[in-house]
Amino acid sequence: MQKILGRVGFFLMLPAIIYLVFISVYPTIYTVFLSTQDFNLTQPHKAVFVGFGNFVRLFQDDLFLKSTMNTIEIAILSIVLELIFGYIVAEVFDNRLKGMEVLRTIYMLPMMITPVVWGLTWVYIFNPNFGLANYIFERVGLGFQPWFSSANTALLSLVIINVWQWTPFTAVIFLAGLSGISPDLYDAASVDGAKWYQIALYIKIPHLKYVAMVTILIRLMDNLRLFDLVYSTTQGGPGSATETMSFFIYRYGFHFFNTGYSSAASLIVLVFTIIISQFLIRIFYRGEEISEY
Amino acid sequence: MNIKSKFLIYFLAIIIVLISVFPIVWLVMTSFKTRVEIFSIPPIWFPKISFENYIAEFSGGSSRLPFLFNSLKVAFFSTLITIIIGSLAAFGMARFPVPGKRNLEFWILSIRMMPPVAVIIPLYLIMRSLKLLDTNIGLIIVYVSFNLPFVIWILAGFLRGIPKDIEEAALIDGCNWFQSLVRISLPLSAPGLATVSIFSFMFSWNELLAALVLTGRNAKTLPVAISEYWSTTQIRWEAMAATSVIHIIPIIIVTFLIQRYIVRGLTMGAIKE
Repeated sequence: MQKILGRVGFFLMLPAIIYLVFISVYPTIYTVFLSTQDFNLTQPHKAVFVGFGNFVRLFQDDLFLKSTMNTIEIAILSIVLELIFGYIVAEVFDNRLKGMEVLRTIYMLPMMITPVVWGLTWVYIFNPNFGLANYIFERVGLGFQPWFSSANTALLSLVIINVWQWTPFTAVIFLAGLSGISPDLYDAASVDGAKWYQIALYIKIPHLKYVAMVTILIRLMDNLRLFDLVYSTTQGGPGSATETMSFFIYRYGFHFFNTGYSSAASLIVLVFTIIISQFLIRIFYRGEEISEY
Repeated sequence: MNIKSKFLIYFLAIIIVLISVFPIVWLVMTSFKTRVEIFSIPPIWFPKISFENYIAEFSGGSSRLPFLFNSLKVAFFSTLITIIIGSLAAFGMARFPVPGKRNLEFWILSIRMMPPVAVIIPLYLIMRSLKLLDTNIGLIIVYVSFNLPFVIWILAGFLRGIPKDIEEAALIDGCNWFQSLVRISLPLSAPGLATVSIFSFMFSWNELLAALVLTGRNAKTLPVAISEYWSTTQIRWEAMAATSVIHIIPIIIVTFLIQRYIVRGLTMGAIKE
């Protein structure tokens, strides 16, 4: 019986498995193959096997190294800021007051909407000459900012949008974490005369460790594939100030048609992602075991 | 809680919400502006409400309407196919002692985490050889593969939350497994199904990279059309805003529908509210 049921279950899963093998696994293997080729899309018959040649070239390519550094910089800055702001927001929303739920849902809207829209909207707000940001900045005495038009501030401007859009993500996760804290703990703390910052430091923040880890890993993977935002704001510029790995791959693959080279770069992103995802998956299973007890 | 701290919390919450939704409001205001009002200094906060930009962008020779329909078609059909294949798999995963289930789950979850940029070149080559470039079908095929792992994983989680006893009772009463799926499990998992459908629709509706690479003049979706307003010289802000507003209206509506499940959906079920 057990065997028959197992087979039924497997047949139910079969269409999905076949689908994923063809449309996800096969392309991944194909990427590995392409990364060893010197292959230009416009001359498909001139593919040459170059082994690790593309990777050797990548590690000497200043633009690729720059795009890697930019990606890391954007990821770290964004995630740190999102964690800080996210915690503050969660503290505010973690009060069962009338209307809080509606406010919270409205607050989440930015992350549900495609980054393309936000990229362009913020380019308008950040326009140095007639944008709203500089108008306000000059009124309050912060002065003229070049935003996306200067290599010095472009990356930071990207981070601002990224943080603005994704702080809600961190916040709602922290909120879910906070709601899991037993009220008894707070009662005990207030009996002991704990101050609010002691409660935050010794009860809340330790309790959020698990959810914070999940957030960091998910946001790391998000930032590794950061494409839409770059495409709709700076397209990597000025110069290479905001070139990210995903954008580099897109440009080499579909503007310069340097397919082999681009595939090699995407394999590097894939390896990074796989490493991060292993941590995440481990946490997933641990979380499951915890909830089963 | 005393009145003073209540007031403080409301005050902070409203400031936070304002920061968050301000660009949405600004986008809507921009969509009502005329060309001249766009460049006005000081900025015009409340332009006269006029739908001229919408009419201009969604009618006539260069109408964005076909791209809106492409987006709707692709998001709808990719969701439908994903749900059909995905709910079968989720049911199998959640309810049957499939040998090696752990490894299968693990594999499906890993696929979910793969960056689309890592497979976009091969997908382009595959679609080119299948002559499916710049077609809705090509994009649907790809979106199903993007959303399938998500749907299986989340739905299996929902199904595990439904007590097994109910299904077992149905089996004892003479239902076969298919009847128990259709009559018992599916209706009970309706909230789960609705949630993953909406998520799947939303992911397809918002997706840019694959649409950019795999479609062109005929099958391009709304996000691609919006990205085309980008230019180094002169962006038509009012037109961009009008098209964007049309694009985000459905998302705003569905956000309220699935608010309870957003955390679960976006963390792949790692965190439940």
